[in-house]
This record gives sequence, C-alpha cells and structure tokens, in this order.
Amino acid sequence: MLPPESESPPFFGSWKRIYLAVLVYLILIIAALAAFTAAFRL
Amino acid sequence: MRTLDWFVLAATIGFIVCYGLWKSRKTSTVSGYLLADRSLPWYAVALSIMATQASAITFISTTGQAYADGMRFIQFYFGLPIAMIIVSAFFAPRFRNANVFTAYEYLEKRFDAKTRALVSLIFLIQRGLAVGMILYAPAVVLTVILGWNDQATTLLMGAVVTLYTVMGGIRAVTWTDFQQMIIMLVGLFTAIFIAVYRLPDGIGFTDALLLASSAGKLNAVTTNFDWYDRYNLFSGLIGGTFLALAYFGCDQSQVQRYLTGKDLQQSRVSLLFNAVAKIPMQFFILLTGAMVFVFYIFTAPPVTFHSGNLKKIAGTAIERKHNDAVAVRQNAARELLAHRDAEHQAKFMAAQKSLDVVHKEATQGFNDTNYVFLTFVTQHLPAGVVGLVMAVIFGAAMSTSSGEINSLATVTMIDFYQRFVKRNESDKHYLWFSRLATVFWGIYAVASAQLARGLGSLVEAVNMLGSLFYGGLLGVFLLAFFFPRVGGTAAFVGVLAGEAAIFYTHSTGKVGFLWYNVIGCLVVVGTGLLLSIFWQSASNSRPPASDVPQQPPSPTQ
Repeated sequence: MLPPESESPPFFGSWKRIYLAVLVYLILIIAALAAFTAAFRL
Repeated sequence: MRTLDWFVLAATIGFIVCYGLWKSRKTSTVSGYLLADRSLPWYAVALSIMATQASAITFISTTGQAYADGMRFIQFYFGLPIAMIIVSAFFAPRFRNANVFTAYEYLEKRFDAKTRALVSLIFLIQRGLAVGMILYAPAVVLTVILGWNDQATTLLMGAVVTLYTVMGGIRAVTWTDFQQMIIMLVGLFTAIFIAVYRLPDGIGFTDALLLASSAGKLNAVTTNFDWYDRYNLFSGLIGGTFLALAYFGCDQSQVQRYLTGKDLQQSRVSLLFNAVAKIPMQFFILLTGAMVFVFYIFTAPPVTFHSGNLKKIAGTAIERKHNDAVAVRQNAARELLAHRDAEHQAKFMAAQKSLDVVHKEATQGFNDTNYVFLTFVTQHLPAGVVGLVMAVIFGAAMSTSSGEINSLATVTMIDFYQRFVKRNESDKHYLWFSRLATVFWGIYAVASAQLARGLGSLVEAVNMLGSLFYGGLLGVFLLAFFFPRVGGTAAFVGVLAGEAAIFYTHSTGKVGFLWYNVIGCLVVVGTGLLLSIFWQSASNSRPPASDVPQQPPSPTQ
C-alpha cells in the first residue's frame, strides 16, 4: 500500500473552489475575447 | 540566415540540450528514467506539458492561419480548461494512486490484459504514425524558406532529440521542454513586438487592430453553429473538451508528464496552470499572425509565400494584377484610418477581397499559409532575432518529438516487453531495454519522417490522425472510471465499436474532425454499458469470467 499523497490545494482552501475559479476564468476569457472581436467593428 | 543567427540558434539549442543532460545525470533506475522518480516540481511539469503540446507547427502554421483565416482557431482551445479540471479531479488521482508507469497499465488493473494490450497498441499505431510527421513538418517549411535540405534537417533534429532522450530519459525531456518553452515565449513576444514596431510611422497598435478587424482577422469568437465548421464556440467548447480530455487524460505523452510530479498536488497544479495559460498563449500566437497581416498591408507581400511557386509567377500578368491589388488595398487602408467610418471600411474589405481572389489565382489552390510566418521572420526581422525564432521552431519540434519518443518507448517497455515478454528481469535489464526502445523509436521517427514527404498537408494529417483514435481511448477510460459494473470484454468490444464508428464517420466526410472524439467516446461508453447490461441479464448470476464486475480501485491501491 502506498502512503496517501498530499491532497491539500495550495490556495483557495479546496480543490472544488479552484476548479470553480478556473470555470469562472474560462467564462471571463471567452467574454473578453467576444468583446475583443466586437471592439474594432465600425 | 546571417552568422549571428547561426550563433544564436546553435548556442540556444546547445545550451538547452546540455542543461537537460546535466539535470538528468543521476538517472540510473527505470523509475528515474521513465518517471523521474516522481520528483519534479509543478512548474517544470507544467511547462513540459505545454511544450509537448506546442509543436513547431503551432508556431509556423497557427500564425499563418491567423494571417489567412483570422483568430477563430482560438476557439479550438475553449474546451481545454474544462478538460483539465476533469483530468485533475478524476484522472490524475487514479493514475497516481494506482502507482502505474503508463495510463494503459491502469486498464489491466481495472479491466483485463486484452483491453490494456488493445489500447496500448492503438496508442503505438497512432503516435508512431504521427511522430515522423511532427519531426518532418518544420523541415518542409525550412526547406522552402531557407533552402535547407529537408532530409538533413530531420536527421539532425532526430539525432539530437534521440541523443538526449536516450541518455537522460524523462528528466532530460522535461528539463529541455522547460527551457524550450521559455525560449518559445521570449521568441513569440519578440516577434509580436517587431511586427508592430515595423509598421509605418503614424500607424499604431490600435490602428493595426482596426485594420485586422476590418479584414475579418480578429474573429476570436464566432457563434454560428455548423457541423462542417471546425472552429466556432460550440465545436470548441464541446468537441474541444472531448479532444483535450482524450489528449491530456489518455495520451501517454501527456499522462507521463504529470505522473512525474512530486505528489498529486504538484501534478494537479501543473495541469491547472495549463488550463489558465493555454488560451492566452494561443491568443498571442494568433495575434502575431494578425499583426503580420497588417505589416504586409504596408509592405508589399509576395504573390505567394511559397518561394518555389514564386519563380513561375515572376513577370506574368498575375504578378501585375497582384501588385495593383496590393496598391489598392494599401490606399484603402490609409483612407480607412483617416476617416474611420463604415463606408471606408467597406471599401477596404472590397479591396481585401479582390486581393484574395488574385492570391487564389496565383496559388492555384495551393495553401501557402504555412510559409507566411517564416517568410516574415527571415525577410524582415533583424539579425539575431531570426536565429532566436529558428531556435523556437527547432525547440518546439524537438520538445514534441522527444515527448512522443519517450512515451512510445515507455509503452513498448511497460505494456508489452515487461508485461508479455520478460516479466521478472532486473531493474538494470529494464533500464537497458528502455534505452534500446528509445533508440528504436528515435530511428523510426527519422525514417518515417522521410516517408512523410509525400503526404501533403502535414497539419491536417496530424490533427486528423489524432481524432481517428482519441475518441476510442477516451471512451474506455470513462468506462473504467465511472462505470464500475462494466467488465473487460464489454470495454474491449466497446473500443472496437467506437473505432469502427469513427472510421465510418470519417468515410462519409460529413462531420468536422473535432466531433469524431465525441462520437467515438459515446459509442464506446454506450456499447460497453449495453453489453454489460445484456450479459448480466442473460446469465443473471453467472457472467463471463472476464466480465465479473470489479470494484473501482481504492484511493490508496
């Protein structure tokens, strides 16, 4: 049997919160890219 | 290339290789050779994952794609963060806790030997076919742009890659990837800066963005749904998730990277770093292509970027038409910047369309986008920077092919040699065989690169090849992780059915290749589930021996 590995996340307190932060980041970056697409249309 | 460029290229590649070999000098066991003794920090693993995925074609072809088709290719990566979350939450812990060297070794623990052998074989076929193309792809472009001999280029790159991969194993591969990725980022930002800096006086970055947008090059998000359209928001989010999930979750060249992390936390952080960093990195690569497009509005572009075809066109009516169309577009661009209204934007768009028609006529259907970026680099960047960008191209080709060669050798050694040929040999013997397998795959890569010469569009070929097999691989791992009642034979048949479905879909030519991963994966999971239900209800209490439902692995197995 292997020793249990370190499960503790380095920040945000839990892995679920980190995953949620990544999803929010994805939504924000798609929104930013959509804004970038539209920003220079005349 | 000038003397300074040769010096920068040789010094950069020489330093990277020597650094990788120095970092791997203590490798003396199979675990050290194939998994770096699971001791690497997250940042080394993270950049290695990124470098393995970013091949030379990423820099050569993606910039050209933005030049010709705009930035919509970025949507291809929208599914990647979602996939990284799934891999981090479900795949990485299972692989690490099962204490495996390869992802396919896990399948025997969960299912049986035949499923492991089938999936390992699919991996060897798929990546074995791709590794030569990955090595050859930059050589074909360098041949046309710089007149280098493609056979000598692939031989040189293949020899260097094989040397440090054989000597240092995964440690050398990871630390060279780390250095190569840093060089890639430096080269990328230098190219963007110079493309903008070289614009005529009075034309700034926002002017360049207005022109690029007016020509349809800043189309980073497109919401029109079309099964044939490879790059839109929906294919990126759905198809891209499946493709990235298959690549990062089931492809040994990636799985092996995060198995080298010090612990599960380091592995997860390295994956999530990629989830966050990949889209911005692709954005800047594509933006470079868009800026090169603007640069060529004010600096006359060649009739075609393929210098071989250029000689045939010189002095013809097409060349004159091209020159006229370039002049009209340049005037329209200046008018647009002066007035900034819809009327002048329409005139600029019409001028761009006319030039596109002439360009199509000149190239006669030949796609010259792969030659755009290197033409810009070699003809318009200063001495030293050309060498740096060449080091980026070489580094990218080497990092991807070393990762592939290393993973092919690992699967050959762990999933076939150690499993089916010599089961109880010493660690020294397996280390020796691992090095031998690496030499074999290195020679194979160089030899198959010579065969890739006649394959036409290499980017298309590599992408298509991956999508023909990834759906099947992903499906069997989803069965393994999330459907504990499905047994080995059901999974085995499921993989065969999934592959049959993908090849049938491909033969119809009616669906974009990103969707192959979705179709293949769903067929594998559906077939596996149906068969397990059918066999259980048919035999009730006595299912076939190999299909006895197995418990999912315990967290500390």
